[in-house]
Amino acid sequence: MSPLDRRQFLIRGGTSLAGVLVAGSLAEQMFLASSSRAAGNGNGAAFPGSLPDDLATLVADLERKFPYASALYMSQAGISISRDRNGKRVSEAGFPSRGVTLRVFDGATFHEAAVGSTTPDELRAAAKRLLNDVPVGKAVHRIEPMPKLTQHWTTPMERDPVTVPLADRLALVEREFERVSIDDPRVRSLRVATDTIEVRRVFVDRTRRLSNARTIIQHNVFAFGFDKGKPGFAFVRRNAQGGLELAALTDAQVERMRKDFAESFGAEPMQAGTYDVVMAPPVSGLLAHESFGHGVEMDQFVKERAKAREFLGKKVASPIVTMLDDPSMAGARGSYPFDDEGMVSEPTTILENGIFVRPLTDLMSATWLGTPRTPNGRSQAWDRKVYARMSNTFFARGKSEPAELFESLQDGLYLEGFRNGIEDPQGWGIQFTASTAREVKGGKFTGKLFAPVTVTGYVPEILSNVTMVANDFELEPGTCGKGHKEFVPVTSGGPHIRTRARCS
Amino acid sequence: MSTRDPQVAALRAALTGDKRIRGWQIQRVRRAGFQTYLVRTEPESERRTEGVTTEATVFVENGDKLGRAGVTLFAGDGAAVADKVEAAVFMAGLGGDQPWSLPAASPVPAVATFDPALSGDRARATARELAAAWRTEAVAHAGVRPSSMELFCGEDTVSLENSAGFAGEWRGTRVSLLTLLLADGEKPSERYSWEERRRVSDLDVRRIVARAAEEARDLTRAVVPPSGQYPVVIDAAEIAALLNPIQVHSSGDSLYQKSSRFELGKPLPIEAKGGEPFSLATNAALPYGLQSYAFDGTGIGGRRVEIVKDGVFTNAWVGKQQADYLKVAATGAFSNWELPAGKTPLADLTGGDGPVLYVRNFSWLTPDQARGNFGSEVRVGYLYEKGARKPIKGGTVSGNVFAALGTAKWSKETVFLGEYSGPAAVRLEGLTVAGG
Repeated sequence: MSPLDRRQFLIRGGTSLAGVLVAGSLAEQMFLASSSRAAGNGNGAAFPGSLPDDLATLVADLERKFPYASALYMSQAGISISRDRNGKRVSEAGFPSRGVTLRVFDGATFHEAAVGSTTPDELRAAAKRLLNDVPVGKAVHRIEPMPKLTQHWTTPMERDPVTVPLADRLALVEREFERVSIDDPRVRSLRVATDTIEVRRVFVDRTRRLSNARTIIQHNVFAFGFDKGKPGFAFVRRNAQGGLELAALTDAQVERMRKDFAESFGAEPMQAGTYDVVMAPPVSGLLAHESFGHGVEMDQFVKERAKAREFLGKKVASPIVTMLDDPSMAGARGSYPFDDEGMVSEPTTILENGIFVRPLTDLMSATWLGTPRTPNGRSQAWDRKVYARMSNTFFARGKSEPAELFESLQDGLYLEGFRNGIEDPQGWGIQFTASTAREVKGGKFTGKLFAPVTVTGYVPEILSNVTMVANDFELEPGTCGKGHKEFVPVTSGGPHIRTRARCS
Repeated sequence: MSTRDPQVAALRAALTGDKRIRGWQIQRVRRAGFQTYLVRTEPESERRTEGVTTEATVFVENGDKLGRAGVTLFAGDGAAVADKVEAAVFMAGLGGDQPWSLPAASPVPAVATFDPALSGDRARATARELAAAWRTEAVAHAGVRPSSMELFCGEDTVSLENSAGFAGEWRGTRVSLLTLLLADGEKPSERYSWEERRRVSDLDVRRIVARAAEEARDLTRAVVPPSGQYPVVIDAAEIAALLNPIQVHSSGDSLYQKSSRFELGKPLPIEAKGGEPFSLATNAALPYGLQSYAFDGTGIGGRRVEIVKDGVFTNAWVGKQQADYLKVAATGAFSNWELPAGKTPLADLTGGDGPVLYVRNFSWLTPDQARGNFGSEVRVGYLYEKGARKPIKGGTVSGNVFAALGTAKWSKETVFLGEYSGPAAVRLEGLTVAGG
């Protein structure tokens, strides 16, 4: 259907507003169809178009010269719908991207040509540049091909966004805005936003043709206000892989948001000191991620900047601490069926009963150090390099009831919510910021609230001080950087834990 | 604006001829770059990147509101132009904010943002020269050895046009260097440095590596600072992060959303306690500033905007949409930080008999934007006491940005750090140091 045809349809449709809506449903179908075509098809589809074949041909051409070659296609697109007190918006979600990385290994070094295109001519030109510009070097390392595999994965979901008209999706956001509204004169702004992100990937090398259509729902609610000039706010979200079933807060989350908002005005600055603490799952997850996760990314071993390298097979934590990274968990924001170097996902046990048993690798670090690979080679986008990265990183469940941890806390803090953290793989220092700390005395909350709370310390000390691990489990979504760049979606979490840490 | 680009021409034709559309904007960004990765001094990887994205934004009347939606086209999407425009019109028709107008035709200011050494085929040659210089410097310091290096050389070409008659194009380059050095000693240590500039001549590889080497060596004998309340001097490298709450509360968006603690024409909520008056500007026309631009994402020309003068909030930085709502002139997006030189020589900031903690870098300084509270671990610092200087790592510094600024003494000496031009350091009283 041409634009002119559609405009004529609009005119027949009546008023301009109604026309836009009616036409919109047609336009929407076309948009989604064209996006699916361009981005590599929607859920349930096999390999998108001829791209895998085109990439396989290029890989074969490159391997006539180089000992190893691969190709990775990555795209991201989506729709953002938001509502606040000033208006409502429907538009593309941020950071759409689409491109291909062609990679060759010359025996010692990787060389890559990354192009923001999928047109055969541009891909062939990129391959030609690699063939012309890169000499084959001395064979220092050898990349072993993985077993043959051809497979496509899609995100399981209850309510596929593609099947729900945009007007209905906007109505969902408007209903949510009414549902979460706070009847409180202190509220200055309230915003509800649902982003639906579609991620497509295709990996091709000599033995593998893998593809994945991933749908991520990011549902955020933010309230901000003042009480006698003192600011307060609350932020609650759901962020995971799935369908529109995730595009609403649970009743418990709504209640929690209202409580957080009301309490936030009374938050005091933290008095610096060392405290007995119970960490809620988002905070214990942050501890796992920042304390040991980054330090066991094996590219840091190659660069000799990871103290963990000296502790492989040794005790680094309390014997009740076990920690994993698992990109194969169903529905989690940090999950993927295969990594960006073609390795199919599986869990990796990092710490087992306090012993450091296995690091996380990318292809480079596993090849250079001659160790088995784990599925942790990840890149931010087609124009960024692959590194060893975490996915869903968490402490394993323990044996205590969560209530036992509180009851045991005679004078300490309950840390909730995470804001950010930063790694120190060489020094094994740690810094992360929890949203709030609640004072606990005699196993009960006193009502005192501190915000924000920065936790610092020495990794083995904090992990060795873990005295209780609860039997509950929760994952918190986040975005992880390598240093201050290279951002990838992750989750971190686990059970409540009790330890001792410096807070300020 | 490149009228020769067929995708842009097709978009323009589709948007101009569509009577449902009240306004539109097309932004095209072409990016190209060369990335180099070394492990120790050996190449790990080299990458060449290139891509073009074209974003079309349409505005559609929806009752008394103005709906807006954007769509992105990539290389090879020429056949999808009509569908993309239809999708944008439909999405824009679903929503709406208070109406506002796009920037009209205006001259594009000349802002220095481009270095030919980082453009086109020269980027690879420049990258190889810089990598060679880094290799030489990284092995030249006793007691220190290289861990790894990452180097990004690249350019952006941004074209923008809209239905109100604005059309312009500007080019910017960027060179980014990540340095990681290791030092052996009592406590094996590392030093991380991330430096970015718009032109090669502003990236002093020798100075960057020398400073990282000195700090890596010092960290092998670093201790945690003593606990207490005593003066803390914060290096220029952390000042922009420290002042982030000022940036947030001085935005037109915060004023419009009524989430700002500031009122135009009134003093900031800073209680003067012997500090020097605080002034701040954001300068998009700063030559070779990392955040400099000829025009922002909606076509507002790059300029210097005074935000705070002697403690008084004089102007919000504000995009065109919020400027129309607030009935003020649009200034464009926040860009480079520009602070005036202070009154105190740098050497005097760390002077006196009592302890003074000089923080070169925090692990990650992220103040609470609403309240201004902060607490961060010291990644590299020095304790000055009775004429002696001791390296510091660990411990935390905490306080409140608004309270601390009332005590601030700024250095006379100034530095340019890419997106920050201002005093080399600031001394703050009343912060809490938690250490040994």
